[in-house]
Amino acid sequence: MDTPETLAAALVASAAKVIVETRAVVQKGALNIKTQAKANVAQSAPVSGRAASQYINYDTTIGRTTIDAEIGYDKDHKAARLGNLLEFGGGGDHSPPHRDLGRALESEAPRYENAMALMAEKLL
Amino acid sequence: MTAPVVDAQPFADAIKAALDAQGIAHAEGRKPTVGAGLPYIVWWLDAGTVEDRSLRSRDGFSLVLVLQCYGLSVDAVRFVVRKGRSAVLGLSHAAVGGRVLMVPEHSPGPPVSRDDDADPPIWWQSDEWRLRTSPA
Repeated sequence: MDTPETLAAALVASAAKVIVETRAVVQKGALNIKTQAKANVAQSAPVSGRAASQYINYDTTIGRTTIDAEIGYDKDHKAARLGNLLEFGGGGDHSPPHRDLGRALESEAPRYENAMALMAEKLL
Repeated sequence: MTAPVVDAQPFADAIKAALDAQGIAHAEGRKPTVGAGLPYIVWWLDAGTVEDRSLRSRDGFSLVLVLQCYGLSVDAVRFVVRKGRSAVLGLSHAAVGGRVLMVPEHSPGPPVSRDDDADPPIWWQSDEWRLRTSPA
């Protein structure tokens, strides 16, 4: 049974690990979303837009109390410049939204939540 | 037990009525018939997602609505976006197709864009919403 001292020691030890472990979960989630989004683009984009899927990338940022992942088209590449049109549609031709990234995010959300819960359980 | 299949059509009808009430030209999946230069909305509603809302599996149902708001200026687009949002948020707690709409969830969208290939150039912004429902 924990004493206040051992509980405090366990919490301190967990705090040291939580950034590394959370970053791993966030990065795995971002990778899964990227992979699924690429597959979605391959299915939904017209032939002329499929090359955009090669330029779906993600970056992770670690702040003082946050770990973020940003997943999207890298618009430095010409083929990815129409990524917003593939995702949200619009433009002068009133094209439909494909939501390739949005659907990938929604698919990953329950797995991500589960992974975060398992990580918290393991650390505590 | 077989879960009932929810029909998305009554929700499309409700969205159409809500946009009509805002007095903005709109059409689903195409440009509406509208006077030259007037703002309008092109909207897209998916067929919905069947979700496990509770331990009674598969009784959740939500839809994604995208409003593409068009105008000849940024100001016009802002005006149309506001009309569209008023219509969507007005559907909160509405009874539709044997279900009740919860407060719609807004997804962060892209900034306003301009298409210079159109003549005259046209501005637009997409506004995305998830409409969650619960059994009535």
